[in-house]
Amino acid sequence: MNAPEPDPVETWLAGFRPAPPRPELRAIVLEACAAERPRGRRLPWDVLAALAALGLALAVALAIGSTARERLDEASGGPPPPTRAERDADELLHQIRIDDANVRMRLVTALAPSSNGHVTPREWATFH
Amino acid sequence: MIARIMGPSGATERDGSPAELLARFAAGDDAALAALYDRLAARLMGYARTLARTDSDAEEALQEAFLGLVRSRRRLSSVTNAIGYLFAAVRHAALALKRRPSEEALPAAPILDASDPVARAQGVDEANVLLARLPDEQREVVVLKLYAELTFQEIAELLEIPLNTAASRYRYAIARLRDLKGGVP
Repeated sequence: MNAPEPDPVETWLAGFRPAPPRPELRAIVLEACAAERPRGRRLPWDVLAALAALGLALAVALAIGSTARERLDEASGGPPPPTRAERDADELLHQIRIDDANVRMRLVTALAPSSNGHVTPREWATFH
Repeated sequence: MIARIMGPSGATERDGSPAELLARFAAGDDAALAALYDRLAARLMGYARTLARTDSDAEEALQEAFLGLVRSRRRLSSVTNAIGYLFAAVRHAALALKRRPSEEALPAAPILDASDPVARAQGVDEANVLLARLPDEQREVVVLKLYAELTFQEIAELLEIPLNTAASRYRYAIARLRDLKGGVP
């Protein structure tokens, strides 16, 4: 069985070629491709989130340390001042507007010199 | 990496089929991407122009398709139809751009190459006019069949339509073009 004759219009159209892209586009596209990184190499979101939390914790710790030193200088001759860990904990709880004795106790423990003196992002996540 | 990706222009059949080039790129051969561009850019651009509202949208769709290859490089080894994959990427990008509000007034360039004097003598300008008058769905199938050189099976998969629908759209388009051509002085 013979194949059907091609339509003359079809033959006419098939004689043409699609218009090529402008020549500059090649360099534009390939340079963009060279600058693109495979998705798999990007930092995972959980790593980015952990880094952000670490940065936030560091900023908070620096702010607390500065304020605590000023207050220590002011306190002279009065009743025994609270420990540094208590001050740091209170300051931190004040900043984040948490008024919870249980959280305060755990935070003071974590900030005490017998501990490592700071709160890691992982520890902080368990406090609230 | 840029120098390796850019490579000399003008890929030929000796550089391998699109499937081979895609596999080489997936395996780490940066230069294969440039060869793939040289092999398919005109066909992909013709298709992008069929779908896009403006020529810059068509160019962006083409670029997005190639950027998609870089982003998905590690997964490309599982691609079984390189040409279909790239045309689908162009289609996806072009349709996404079409949904985006645009104030650009420059329309997409004609689908067929009118720079060749021989083509002009054979009536390429008329062909561009007639193609523009087809319904979008029919024009898309004609371009994919005649200029992207896809089979009806590949067209059906790309457009997610039954094989018979792809073939009938093409037949209707050719019949419509025949009628239109008869009406063009």
